[in-house]
Amino acid sequence: MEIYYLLDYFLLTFFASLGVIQIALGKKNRTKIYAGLLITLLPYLWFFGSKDRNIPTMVEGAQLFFIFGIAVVLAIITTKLFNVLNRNAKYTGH
Amino acid sequence: MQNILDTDKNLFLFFNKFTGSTPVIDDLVRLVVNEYFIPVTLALFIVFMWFSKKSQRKIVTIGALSVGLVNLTIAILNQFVFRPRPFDELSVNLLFYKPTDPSFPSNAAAVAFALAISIFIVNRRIGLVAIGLSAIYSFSRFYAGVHYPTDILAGMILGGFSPIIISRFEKLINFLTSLIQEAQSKLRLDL
Repeated sequence: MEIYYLLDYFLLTFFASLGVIQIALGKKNRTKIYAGLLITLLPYLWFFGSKDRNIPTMVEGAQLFFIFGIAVVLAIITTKLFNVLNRNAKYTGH
Repeated sequence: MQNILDTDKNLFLFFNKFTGSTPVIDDLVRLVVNEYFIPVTLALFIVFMWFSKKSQRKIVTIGALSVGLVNLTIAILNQFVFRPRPFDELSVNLLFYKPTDPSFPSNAAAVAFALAISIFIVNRRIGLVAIGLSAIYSFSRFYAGVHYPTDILAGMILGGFSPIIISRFEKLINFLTSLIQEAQSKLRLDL
């Protein structure tokens, strides 16, 4: 059961980080900021709305910290990928 | 000392009478009392600060070192002081599961305040929001029946002082921050 719990936590932190990075990089681009807000808030709604999160687990704080770190790195990689795809699409006129 | 402990218990019992009696407040407390809602939000503030302004990047180093220092202090303190949780000694209205670690000091309040004050040191505006969230988190632990008031107070003081001490080591902070930035560049994770 712990693995599902960790997976849920990873999904929350990955998508929320992805959203926060869009907001931070959005500067004055409103579309990017609103999209970022949506990407940040939806995983919160899913995470806290889908299950009771006030139950004891064997998961330690250090494990949560580690998973958060991985989630942020993967969110950065995903943002980079989107940026490259976006640039290529603009360059080729698609 | 006994007087302080008695007052603490009386204060706890006085406020615990309200726990479970107001559904709206109970639901809000249940939402924020866990290890996820506010700690993840505070960590996301740090991610935001890292990517929004280069001059704010030292927040990662100050935050990480402060949490490390506060955890170390609590681990040492727990070797000498073991205070049972309120639900181990009293009849309590509980809104949370029963943690097994010592009650004093509140680990949750300490970590939250270590992060919030770290953020405040680097960015006052975001820091104030972070302090507000940490105060709500700390109060929720008390309201949920898992901590005495002095556990929370001690956690807040420990957590609050940790970043103030850490931020004095400016050279170390700048050095470690530049190492993280270098690692990010070498891994081609710059955005």
